[in-house]
Amino acid sequence: MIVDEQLVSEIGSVMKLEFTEAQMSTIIAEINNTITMFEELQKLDTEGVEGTFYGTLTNKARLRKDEAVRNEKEVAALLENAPATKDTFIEVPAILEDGEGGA
Amino acid sequence: MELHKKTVEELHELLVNKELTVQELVESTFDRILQVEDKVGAFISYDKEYAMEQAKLVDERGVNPNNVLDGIPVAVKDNIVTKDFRTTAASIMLEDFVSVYDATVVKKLQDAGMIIVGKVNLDEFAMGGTTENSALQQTRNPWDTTRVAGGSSGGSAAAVAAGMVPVSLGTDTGGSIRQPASYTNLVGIKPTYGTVSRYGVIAFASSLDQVGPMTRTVKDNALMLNAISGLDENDGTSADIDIDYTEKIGQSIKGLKIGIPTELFDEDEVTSGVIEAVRNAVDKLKELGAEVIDVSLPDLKYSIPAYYAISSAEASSNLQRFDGIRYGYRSKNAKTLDELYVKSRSEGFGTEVKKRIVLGGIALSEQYYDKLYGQATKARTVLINEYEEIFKKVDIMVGPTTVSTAPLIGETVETDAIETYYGDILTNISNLTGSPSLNIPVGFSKDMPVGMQLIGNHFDEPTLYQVGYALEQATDAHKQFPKIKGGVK
Repeated sequence: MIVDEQLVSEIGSVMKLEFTEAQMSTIIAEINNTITMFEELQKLDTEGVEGTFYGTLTNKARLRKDEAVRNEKEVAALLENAPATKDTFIEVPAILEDGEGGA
Repeated sequence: MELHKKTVEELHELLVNKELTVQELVESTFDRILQVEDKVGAFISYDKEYAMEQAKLVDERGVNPNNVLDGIPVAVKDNIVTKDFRTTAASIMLEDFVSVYDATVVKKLQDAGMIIVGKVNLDEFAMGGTTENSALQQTRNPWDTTRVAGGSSGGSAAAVAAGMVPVSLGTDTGGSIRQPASYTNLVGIKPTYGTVSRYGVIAFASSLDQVGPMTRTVKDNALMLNAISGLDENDGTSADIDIDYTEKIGQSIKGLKIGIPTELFDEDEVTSGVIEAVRNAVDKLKELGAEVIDVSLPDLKYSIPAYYAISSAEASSNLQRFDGIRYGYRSKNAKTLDELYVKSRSEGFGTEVKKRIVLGGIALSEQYYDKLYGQATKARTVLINEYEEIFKKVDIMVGPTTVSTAPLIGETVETDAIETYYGDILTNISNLTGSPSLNIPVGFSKDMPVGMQLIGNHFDEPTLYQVGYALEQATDAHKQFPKIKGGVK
């Protein structure tokens, strides 16, 4: 397993990230540095072992009721955190690349 | 009266006996902040006017003699949301963010009458072990300001160690409370997973994250955990338990079985100064009547890759919410919506955060899922089983918390990533197993503090506090106080 610029760019594109040249070289170098420890991990015999995916010790999730919560009072406070707003909407740039459908 | 050296219990007595008002206490807190903060750099924000208003309210209604936390100043790690302070996660991404709600733990502090004086520094999004990954400022160790205070709860540790507040809250995903506590001569606990609500705690790795208190004494720590723990309907992983964490404090440890995992004392990994201080503490436990038994964690070395695969995978998912739309940093260089996501995230996150998101993405990718994330979750099961077997034989385990004392600022930046990751080898495992782990001060190596961790069975924090308290009463490491020289924020 070798991590190169192509793999980091591919994953970066999925994760909506781009990198400066310096960041790219640091990330490639540091992740490649960790590869040996991940190779080491393959030596652990996990035949027939089930994975642990959650932290909860009971393995039971407590669920909430599937009900919509409406809190009109919070709208103004929430919108204050949005970088750009118009009335009670959050402004974003064009959704389509040709500019149509954007705000 | 040197208020800044006093414990919560001592301050409470002064308040109840009316030798001190809460306003005087908070005034002295800010005097101390003015005196030492520019050498230490613990706080991202603080607000004297706000804290004095809260203090006045407590003075007016009178300090409750039955509530030891009433009117006590506290600092909160800046990845725990607050309505009254910014919450930055030490990231450009959230530099100006103010939450519309308080985290459950913050509400609980306020319900207990505590005075939140400010928010403290951390590695960006709690990713790191030195607080050098903070995008906002440098935090220094009050014991030697050329050294780090540890991380990621470095600000929480430095603020208490420097005497600016008697207690603080940190978070611990892989050692982020215990390691800085160890570096700064404090008591710090990573409670059992589910003990403390994570509602309002900015998520890093949701199956590992826990909130815990950092204090100068074991008793103060247990009192704080009493205040912040308990079932919370807003956190689906919160456990339905009701424990008095002080219940065993003061009880004899005679006959308790204490396991010594040989792998935690590996002389190739852990410096001799640390091993010596911890061995001395183990001898003291024997003198106090505990039975010491050698045990083994043969697969400890797999905890590091398992931890990094799982925590990075979970982080890559959790951090997708930061998109520049609803809150947080928004790039001014974007022309389309997709560019807005990419540029806001790319300009808002630091290199370490980006690296972990990429690593998480690789671990979850179709090509590497089985080898990385899948194998890591299985290793986690193996480690859980090893702990379970050991706790059939012993009541608790003890060992060093860290492989060395606090490194110099800049020192770990120059070592390679894998060496830095292996620095967490003693603490990561208890996050993977969900077990409680308590750091207590046990002495010094070349004038820098050394900590010992006590690891317990799930929800058995009372036994950790019992043993920690017994050792604390028999030693005086926790009574030492740093001189705080030099350094510039």
